[in-house]
Amino acid sequence: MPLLLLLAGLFLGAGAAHAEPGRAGDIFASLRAAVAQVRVIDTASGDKAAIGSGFQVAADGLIVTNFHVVSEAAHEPGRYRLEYLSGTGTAVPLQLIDVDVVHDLALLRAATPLAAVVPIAQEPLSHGERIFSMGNPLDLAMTIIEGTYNGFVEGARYRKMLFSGSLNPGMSGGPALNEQGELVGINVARGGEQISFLVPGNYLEALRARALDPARAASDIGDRIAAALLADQDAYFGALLQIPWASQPLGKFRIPGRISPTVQCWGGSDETGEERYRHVGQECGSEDTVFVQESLETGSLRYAFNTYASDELNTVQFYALLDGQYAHNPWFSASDEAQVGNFECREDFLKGKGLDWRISVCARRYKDLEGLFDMSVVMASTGFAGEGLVANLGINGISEPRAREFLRRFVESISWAP
Amino acid sequence: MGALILRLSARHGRATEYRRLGGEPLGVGRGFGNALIVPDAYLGAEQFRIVPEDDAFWLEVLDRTNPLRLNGVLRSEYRIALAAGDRIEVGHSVFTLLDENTPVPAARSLAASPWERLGDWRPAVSMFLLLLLAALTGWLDFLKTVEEPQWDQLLFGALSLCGSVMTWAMTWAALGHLMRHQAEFWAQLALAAAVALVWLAAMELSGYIAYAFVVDAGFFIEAASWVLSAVLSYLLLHGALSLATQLRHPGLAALSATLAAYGLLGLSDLSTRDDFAAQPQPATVLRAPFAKRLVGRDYASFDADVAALFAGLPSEDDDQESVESK
Repeated sequence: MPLLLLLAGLFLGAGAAHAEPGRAGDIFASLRAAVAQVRVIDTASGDKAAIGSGFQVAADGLIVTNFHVVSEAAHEPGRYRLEYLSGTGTAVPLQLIDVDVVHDLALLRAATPLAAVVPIAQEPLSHGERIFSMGNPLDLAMTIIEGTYNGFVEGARYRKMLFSGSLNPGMSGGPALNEQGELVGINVARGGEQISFLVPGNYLEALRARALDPARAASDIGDRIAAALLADQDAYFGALLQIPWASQPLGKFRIPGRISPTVQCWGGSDETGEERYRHVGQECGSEDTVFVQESLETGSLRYAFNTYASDELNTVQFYALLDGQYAHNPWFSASDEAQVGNFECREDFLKGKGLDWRISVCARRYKDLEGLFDMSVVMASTGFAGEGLVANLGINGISEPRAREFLRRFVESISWAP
Repeated sequence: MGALILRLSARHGRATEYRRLGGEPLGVGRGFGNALIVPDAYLGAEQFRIVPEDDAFWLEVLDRTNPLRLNGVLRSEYRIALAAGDRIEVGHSVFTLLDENTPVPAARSLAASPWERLGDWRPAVSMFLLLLLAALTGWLDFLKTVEEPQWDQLLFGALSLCGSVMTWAMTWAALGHLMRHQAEFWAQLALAAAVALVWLAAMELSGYIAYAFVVDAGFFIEAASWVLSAVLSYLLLHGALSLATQLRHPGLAALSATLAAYGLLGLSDLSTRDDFAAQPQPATVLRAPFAKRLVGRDYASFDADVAALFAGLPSEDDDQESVESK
């Protein structure tokens, strides 16, 4: 029977390759049976709690969607169950096989396979090539949209394809296809008008390969999520700590600027004429986060520097100015007590490179993600009348050793350079 | 024979009257013909008499309705010799004989005495304290002003606080006028202004203490604010009640009111306080850099503190235990 299914899948999958290139209607017709709405059902009420799209990649019922579509069922399997809605409106149970939380992918097994398989593209896309995306937006109907492939998002911590098309809620997890109807990516997010993002297909291949490992299959999904996040932050911050950080002047200080291509920096200054001081600020951060569950995204790195200088304010007034800025920034996404503990802080005076700091370090622990923490730092220079620097650092989801290494590097990379 | 002093003590040891024993007999009882009239229903109209005779004092018992004890011993004689230190108990009254050379404690100063001695200067002193409060308020506001100073706003802020102090003093003065026919407005004003001055200065100082000694600024300032506010509220209320009313125990009344008010406030604060904060709480203490010279740490020792911070974060197990214990 599995052999028959496999043969049927190959046959049906191969059918997509025979669609007339570049015609959305033909692609839709050939792959409609390979794409379905994925639903997360609240077992208590029997109604859907979340919806997305998914597609079959193997005739034995292996279905792919986004992790964020099925995250509730992954975290609370007793409370939610998964199913897909076939073209005829039949609900078919799904089982969660494996997840790639970092790249927002999930593998599911259908009790009854879909009637077709989406073939995987073997050739890379060219910039500007037409691509199509399928999914069920807003629970309206299965649709196909057309757009353009515009390469990978530059400066992203997590590699994402830039799709100039309009993904809408409900299409998450659906397939993005080339003109031959072959899978090139997986719908994941919308960035704005005609700006959407796709997960590259190669991550799906990696996830499928990992899912075959029996030891991994036997482990808890939650442990796999925590391990993936821990490994991801370790690799990212490990790499950041290995490379030299660009240094740049800000007022009479030297600060780390854009320390990595994955970090974007923005600047600003106040010159309204009403203040008796000059202010120049810079804020940098990685734009990417990893969705873990509702109200919990992690993986962001942000830091900011604000310098203040004044010839008019006396010492007390100048420190009153710094006092107003000496505060932790609200850069932390987790807002549910069930997910994270409270922040606890240490405050002290610290010797830096040519300057002294008043520093406050706060950290909190992730409850279900063993070994991960959030860290917030605010530090203000002391000792220079009329010249001051307030620095903030906020990291979501980092291990203790990496947090301490990064903080040390951060503090040591700021210096007084009149 | 040296003179003796007869001390009449009511119950609980409070002395009510002293009478010097001289060359004449001293009659003691409820009757109006006595030299010492004692309103004790358990004494006779003429209970006893103390008679000087032959360089000694003698107790002559005139009424036997209730027993009489001398130094705790029941005595039935008519005439008994007395000496300094003797204690006579009869009815509900206690009489003690004291030597005239028994030292007495120094006079206690009334809290309001220094104020009373100011005489005609009192209005001036009150107004001086009020102006000082206005000046301190304005000055502290000015020190925190980093934009171009808006003098009218600074003046308004200072005068607003002074207006509140004046209103407080006028309210208590009106109460004093009603209850004691003594308004004591200037005293009330001076008291309120002085307390406000201390509160303002102490609150400012607490920030510097937190800064200098690197204590948990948020907790320290909040705790200092509560304790200081409670103590000053008590003092202010105690003073106001003493001036405006004839309460026998104004301190007790002020203490009760303060404890009740702050107890309710504390309970209300605890009941509305959210134990979980999604963002780090603001670190708001930074002061002009004279205190920081007390300490200065290198990174290695600070890093050990950061490691301790991470290690000390409660684990999920700790949280579950906490929930279970609740």
